[in-house]
Amino acid sequence: MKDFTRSLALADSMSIHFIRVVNHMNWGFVMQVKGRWSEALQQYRAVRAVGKEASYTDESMVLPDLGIGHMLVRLDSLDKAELILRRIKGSEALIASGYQQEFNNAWALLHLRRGQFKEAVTFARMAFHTEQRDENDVIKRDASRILPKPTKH
Amino acid sequence: MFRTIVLTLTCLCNPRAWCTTEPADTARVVQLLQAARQPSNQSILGFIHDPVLTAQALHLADSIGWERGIFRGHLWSLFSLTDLNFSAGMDTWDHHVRGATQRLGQANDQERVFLYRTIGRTHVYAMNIDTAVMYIDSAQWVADRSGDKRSVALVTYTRAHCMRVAERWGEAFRLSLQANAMAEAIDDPLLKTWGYNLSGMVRGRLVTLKGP
Repeated sequence: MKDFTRSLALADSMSIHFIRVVNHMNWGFVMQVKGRWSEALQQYRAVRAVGKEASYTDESMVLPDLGIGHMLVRLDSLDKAELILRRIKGSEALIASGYQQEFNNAWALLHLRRGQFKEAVTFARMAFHTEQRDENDVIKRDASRILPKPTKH
Repeated sequence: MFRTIVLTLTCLCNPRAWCTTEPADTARVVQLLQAARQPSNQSILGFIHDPVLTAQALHLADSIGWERGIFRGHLWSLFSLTDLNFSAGMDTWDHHVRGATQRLGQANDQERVFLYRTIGRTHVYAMNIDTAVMYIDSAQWVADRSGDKRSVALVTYTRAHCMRVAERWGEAFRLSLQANAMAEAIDDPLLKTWGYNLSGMVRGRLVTLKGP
């Protein structure tokens, strides 16, 4: 994580909000891929904090919100997670972001944890079969791990 | 004497010469373009462009038929469109790409690198990786020839980013480290900031997908 730290230090020193946002997002995603949920959540929340500081709109913060919601599901804060995910579900900003399958995985996992297997299967399947902008390997990996669980029930 | 008559006739027969290209007009275009470009660390190029002033400059350059001004007007417009996340739409983008590429003869080396790099980067976002690589190759060729170290480092970073989007992690990692080394050599804080961010992401994604 030395690279991210160095980049952040430079971006902070020059007050380049955009790079700070990109940096925390990337850092969060890398932690997410590794399964370090709390650290990922911390980074996604840091994006939100930079966004607030730089007066970014809520629409432009859809990806950090998705990250926060997803990590809260992973950390079993299901009610808090649902509140965030329901707010961005089907929103124009989410569709325009090109990362809808990431949302579908988070939504599937939320329902899996709640024992709502039908909805979990529907969304995990969608995530597995639909291509998104990039990071499809991660999406398919996560969806394939969600899918077998509800189908056993 | 005969040469003077021929020259006068040639000038009179040239419709371009009828339009009065007052030096004041070209100076005004230059002035508008300069006012449109503001130093900024919000873009990796080191400056951002005001779309309104750029449009005024382009319009004026067009009306006086000053090709160099028209080229720069289109180029500035492309920069401002990317700065504003293509909010003006892709038709506008295509119009300026055509306007700039038709006048490549008017460009200096740095402008050519920036033009190819900007078009290449847009194709990266549109996931047209092969086309993007083609433009990045062109940018690289001009940058190498120009000997401008910042241009070379910028293009290397752009190629690394392209490979990262294409999820060719090995190449992305090698190129991002190369871009970082170049940015460090010229001690460019902006390039270093973007470069470390990219290498951090790529380094993180190089691990196996085994995950949790």
